[in-house]
Amino acid sequence: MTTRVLIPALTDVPVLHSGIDTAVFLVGFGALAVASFAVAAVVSVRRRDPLALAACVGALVCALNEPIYDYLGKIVYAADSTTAYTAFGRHIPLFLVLGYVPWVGLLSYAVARLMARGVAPRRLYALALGSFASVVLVETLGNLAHAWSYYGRPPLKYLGVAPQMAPVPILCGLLLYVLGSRLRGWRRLWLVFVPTVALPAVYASAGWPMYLALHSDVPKVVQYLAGFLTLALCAAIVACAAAAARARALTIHGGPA
Amino acid sequence: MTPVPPVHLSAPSGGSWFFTVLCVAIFAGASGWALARAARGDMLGVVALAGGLVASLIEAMLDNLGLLWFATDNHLVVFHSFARSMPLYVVLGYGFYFGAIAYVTTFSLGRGHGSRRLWAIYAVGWLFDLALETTGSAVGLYKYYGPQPFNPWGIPLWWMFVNPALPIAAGGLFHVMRDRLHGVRALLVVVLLPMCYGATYGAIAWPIFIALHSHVPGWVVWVAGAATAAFSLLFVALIVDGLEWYARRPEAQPAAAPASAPRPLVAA
Repeated sequence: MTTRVLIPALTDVPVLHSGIDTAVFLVGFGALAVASFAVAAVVSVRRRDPLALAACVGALVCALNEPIYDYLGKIVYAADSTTAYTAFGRHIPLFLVLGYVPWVGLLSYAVARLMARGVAPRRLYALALGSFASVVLVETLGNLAHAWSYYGRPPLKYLGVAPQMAPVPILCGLLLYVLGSRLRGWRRLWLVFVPTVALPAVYASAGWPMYLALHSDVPKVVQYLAGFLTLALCAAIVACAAAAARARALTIHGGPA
Repeated sequence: MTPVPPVHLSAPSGGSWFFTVLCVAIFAGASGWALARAARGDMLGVVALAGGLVASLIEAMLDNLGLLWFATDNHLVVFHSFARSMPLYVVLGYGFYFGAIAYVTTFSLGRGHGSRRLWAIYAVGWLFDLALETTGSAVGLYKYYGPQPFNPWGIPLWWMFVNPALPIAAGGLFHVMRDRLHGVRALLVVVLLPMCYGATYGAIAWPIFIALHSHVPGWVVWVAGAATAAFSLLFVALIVDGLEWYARRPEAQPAAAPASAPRPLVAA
């Protein structure tokens, strides 16, 4: 019997240099993060509820997941960015960590508030689509500027982040809403852990076919199938989370407020 | 820097056959039970086993993150992914461990068992996983590498906390969705189980994955391992709590149940 000794491809990560000064992204994402924290602080004080702040802090902690999915989704960042931390052989830029605050933290909190009011699933679908579109825009800018790059093969290289960012605020919002309804006062600070759970849960549960295909020697047709399956799973998570939120709101209120 | 796997590890031929036959035997037993249940009209066991087999596709990804290497000369390698070779016993192990235990969880909930039974299933899953993995490791078929914490005899114990959380999560989900999983829709389980598996690992194992792949002091890796174990227990506790809430909802209560009667986790 012949055996193959396969060496993990740890050396296929390209070294990237940004075409522009990535301080632009740092300033842009930094401003968004500061604004998000300001909104969260005002909301927390007015409502005497720390949930908005907890969601934003949790989003910062959640950014620790980034290198796992950069490795799986084959994403690399420019080496000349201000680095927040290094893991999986990747330098994670500070601007990216700050970007988690509005997209994963504040948006999820807003979704949780909408769910508590019994929002129609259709509006949650629109929100998910908006989250997806906004990430596509940012990804396009970042790739054009060579601030980061996807180095996997097409078509899967284009599905690395944006599709998964559609379900993240919906699922995260649902968990904040459902778990938050059982906690009162400062005990709601425990919900700081929700974003760190929701984002990787979405990425791993919906993205695994894509990650598998990106890291396997499979025909093009299988790559397309894996991509379609990942997109379908993302859509399914949005639909299920929206339906669950609706059912929960109806159980509590007997109908939308 | 990512630790380098022991790529020259070689599996003893006899040991590889022994472990494969062992896993085939356990899978055959689980399949027999699932088929017997199917003959009585309950297809969930069969599709859960199928879902477990599909979930094995994720193993190579998790091995890369959690630093586990299977010898490339194991017998009956089924597929290659993430530069790793996955032998048949891994695929079957997923079938009977994740598929069958998820079904046992759903089955127990359907018979009205409560939180104590769920924790018992988790504990048995913990010990079963430890026994199985210790056997394969002792035979020399695979090796955990890198700065693994809680690693008394080659089996990092943080894995034992994470693995049995999946069948509890998936079993609980199938129980809640049971009314919608009839007929062709039962095949959804084949998709849902790998999703649950990915979600469980993504949600609770990220601290140890990050620590194992970072330049951090040894104690940080141990803290990350402890955090992963704690997240696992919290994850299961939340699921058990959620299922209790589900059972207590008004529409689950029998209309004529006497007030003093014990309240089952699931209404019959």
